[in-house]
Amino acid sequence: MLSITNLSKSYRKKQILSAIELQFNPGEIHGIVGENGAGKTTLFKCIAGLESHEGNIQYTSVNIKNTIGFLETNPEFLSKITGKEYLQLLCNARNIKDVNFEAQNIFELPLKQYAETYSTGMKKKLALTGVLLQNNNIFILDEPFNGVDIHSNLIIKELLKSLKEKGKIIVLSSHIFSTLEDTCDYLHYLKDEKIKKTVKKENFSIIENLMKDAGFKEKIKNFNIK
Amino acid sequence: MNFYFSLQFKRMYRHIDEFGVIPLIGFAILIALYIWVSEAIFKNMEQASYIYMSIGLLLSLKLGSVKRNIFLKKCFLPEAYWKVRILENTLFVLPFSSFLCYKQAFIEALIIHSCAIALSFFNTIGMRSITIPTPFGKKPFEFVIGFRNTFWVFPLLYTLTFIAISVNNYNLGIFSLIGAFVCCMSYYSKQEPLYYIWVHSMSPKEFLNHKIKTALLFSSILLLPIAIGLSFFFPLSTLQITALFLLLGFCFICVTILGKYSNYPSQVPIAQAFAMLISILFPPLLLLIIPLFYKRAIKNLNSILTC
Repeated sequence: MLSITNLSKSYRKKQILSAIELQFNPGEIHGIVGENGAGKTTLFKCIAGLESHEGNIQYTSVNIKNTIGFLETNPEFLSKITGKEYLQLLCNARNIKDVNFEAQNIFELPLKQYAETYSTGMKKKLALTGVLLQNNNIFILDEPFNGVDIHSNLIIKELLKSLKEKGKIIVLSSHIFSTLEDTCDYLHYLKDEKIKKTVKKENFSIIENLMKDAGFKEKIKNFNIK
Repeated sequence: MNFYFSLQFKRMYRHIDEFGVIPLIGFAILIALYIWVSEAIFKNMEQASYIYMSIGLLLSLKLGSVKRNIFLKKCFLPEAYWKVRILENTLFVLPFSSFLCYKQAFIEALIIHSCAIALSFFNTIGMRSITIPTPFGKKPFEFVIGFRNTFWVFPLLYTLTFIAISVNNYNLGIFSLIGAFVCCMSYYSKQEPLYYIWVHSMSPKEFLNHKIKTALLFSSILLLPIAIGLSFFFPLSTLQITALFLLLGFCFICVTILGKYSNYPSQVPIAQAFAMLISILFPPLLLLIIPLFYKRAIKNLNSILTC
């Protein structure tokens, strides 16, 4: 089990997250939802250990970092590195040997091409492939469906199901509610630095309504489009 | 166009300022360093003017990179774009041609200027999509990227070594060796995104050892032809000097890696850069610098790799 207790994060004087309490069990898929800038990425980075924070993150394994697969919102690719070399780098980093990248190329990416020349969706798929090849136990996926085509979207959903069956912990974020409904077991609504609501699958509509109830119609009216 | 060039000057000014040096002093240091290196080339090499000319032109090729030119084409109308390119290339080789004139190599100065203007009509477009094969693909990324960026440098350095052997000019051979080391060190000059460090399931010590081992192994492969040439085709008395240069070169590669990670994600600060510079002039200082940088790098990486 991965448990987060009293996690807080601030950048200088600006509080981003405060007293976050979450628990993720193996074989569960958790979705974190919230508006842009709510702190989802910061929360993910804190869990991964890419950001310093206050509070505790506990996992059964001693070094949580070495078993986390983190997919960034916009994965960064070094120039003049091919797709295959990127995957090789990620595998080398976790001491995974003898991987047949061509056979494992589930998204049929042009692995001999420089990764920097890939489209947004292809970059996301390459980064996700890398994270999957690392045989991690925890998957932190920041907007895994962003920019990805319909076919790949279906593949990712199936992959998530397989990971769930294998007893992995999966935490993801997405702005596409239908995708969250299809994949997640729990949803956590992040707003004003805190987890405002946590619901099970059968009550996802509560969070959907909460998010819709942002008074945007009034805002559009006030915008006064001419 | 004037604004563009004043902006370039401002950028350079800011870079020096960020480095922690008063920009005017920084410019003075750069000029002094430039004159010192140029004098050293002319003092130690017979074909200095040709080497000097080649260095200038090869460096000016950087101005023809795809990204830069796409940006420039977006900013300027076609006529202005060509003016900027020609002016940029001319200004870039100006220090080289000025020094060649100072050394009374007027023809070479004219050639470098003509070539620079000609080069402004070309850019490296098309190279971006071609995957350059590299022998280092199993262990990305520094040597993979570095080799692809500088793949043309090594045949040039090997040719220089061959010329050095042919004309029995040991200094020219040593110049090739130093050039190869500088090239390998430059592969570690850019800071990678945090993710590329974080992703390693290694302790800071293991991470640094892995980086250093890879660098020493791969740089040895690239240096091998030069080292063999210098060892076998020059008198036995020079063997010790070659070995010394090799040893120092490998030490400087280690210092570059340790310096990079002891400050990550910041750039190497001025004091550290100064210490590295002094160690070039007084190599025994490396005995002090290497353990110091190593200790700092371990401490710095600890927060990224152990959590």
